[in-house]
Amino acid sequence: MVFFDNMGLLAVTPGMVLMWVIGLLLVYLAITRQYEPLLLLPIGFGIIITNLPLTYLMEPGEGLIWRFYHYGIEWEIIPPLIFLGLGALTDFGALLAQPRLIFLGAAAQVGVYVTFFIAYAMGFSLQEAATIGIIGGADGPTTIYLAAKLAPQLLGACAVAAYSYMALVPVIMPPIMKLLTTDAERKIRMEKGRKVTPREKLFFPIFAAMVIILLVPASAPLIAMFMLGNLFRESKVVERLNEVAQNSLMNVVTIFLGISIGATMNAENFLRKEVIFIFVLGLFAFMISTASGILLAKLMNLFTRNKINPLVGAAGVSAVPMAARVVQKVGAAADKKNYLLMFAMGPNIAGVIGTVIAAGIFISILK
Amino acid sequence: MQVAFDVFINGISGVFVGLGVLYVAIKLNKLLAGREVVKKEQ
Amino acid sequence: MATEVLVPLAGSIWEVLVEVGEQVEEDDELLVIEALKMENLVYAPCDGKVSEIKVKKGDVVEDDDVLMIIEDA
Repeated sequence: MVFFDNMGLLAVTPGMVLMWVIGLLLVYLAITRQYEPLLLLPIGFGIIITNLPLTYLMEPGEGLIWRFYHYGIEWEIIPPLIFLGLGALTDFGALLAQPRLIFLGAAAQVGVYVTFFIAYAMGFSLQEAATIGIIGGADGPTTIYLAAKLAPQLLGACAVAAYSYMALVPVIMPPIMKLLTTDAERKIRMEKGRKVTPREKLFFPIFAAMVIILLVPASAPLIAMFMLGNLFRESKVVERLNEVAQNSLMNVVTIFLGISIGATMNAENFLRKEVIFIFVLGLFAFMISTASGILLAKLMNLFTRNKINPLVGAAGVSAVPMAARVVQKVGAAADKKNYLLMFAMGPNIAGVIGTVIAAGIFISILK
Repeated sequence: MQVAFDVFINGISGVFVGLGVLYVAIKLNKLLAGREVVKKEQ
Repeated sequence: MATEVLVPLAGSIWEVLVEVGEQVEEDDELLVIEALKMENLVYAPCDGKVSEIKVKKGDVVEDDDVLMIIEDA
């Protein structure tokens, strides 16, 4: 009977069943633990769907989810749109008040490049190694953007690694932060920055877009949208656009992003030993980035009188604002009257920009 | 390996230069636009 | 002597935990400020009696605004 011949059930492979379990696990973690649910929930479901046989959902040129993936991610539309929303959500005040903390956001990119080097030494291609390294930047859309450009075959694994580790920031970072700082350093109370004027905030996105894009043109798609979103916010005259960019538009593209990423993870693509390496290397990148931010803060303290609490350096790992929250918690554990949250937002946001620059440099050299 | 090394060096220095220039831009921006608060107090 | 309790970080008042006239000791919890979806406790800077509370739940506060005044007994 034709019906039975076309039935998917007969074409199920053990690999597919294993992928169902992985997809269900992500759905479970998203719901019960609320690990990045906005992304891991659709990704998990996408994994399950794509590992049902004979659906042709990811068939090039005809599949439904293939179209989402092709036009959204391969055409590099969704990650920049998410950056538009992030720009509209970001208050650069903390960064403008304490510009020297920007360098902590740069230091946290060291993990990206160290991991890139190690991944390459382990036998990944240059492009794959770059994609794995960027996980250490802890920025989902940038990771996806770079993966789509350099190593689409690793996109699913790298995206899931990046988002899972971002959710695990409160677990991964504190031990490293405590290991690298003394109790006295954790108790350092920082001097408040000056008040930033509305006009500074208004000029910044225009200035910053020009400067960064002039230096690293390949970062233009992400930086341009990021700063445009921020200009919407700070101009105060396009509240409608500001509101749409940070809410509805971002939510819409997040749906297509999640399901498409999940759907790239079919059994033959995902169940390879390289994927285990990606997860290990991604974690390693996160750890190095955390450590290098802290170490640079300690180095800067050797030269300045106005001391930096080195914990703030850990927030250079861009996972916004989770990394800053963790800094606040670890700081408050040492001295409950120490409020590091706003100080940590500076390097946190600088880390986002740093990761985009790092991705831009990878693209300009390796593309 | 040579390429990987180049990317490594270029990458790390590029990120620091990029954010370093942004640092200068913020300082300039402060000179240009950072005086509003003072005016109000006068 | 009166001591002003200042806002340690900008945010909105999530909850006020003391009342006017209440006796507090140094490091007692006074109120909760919400910033970046995180609840941050504000502690008493000294012993004394709360003589005035200048904020209420839901208020948006900036750095160094005065939250309340504590009179030394």
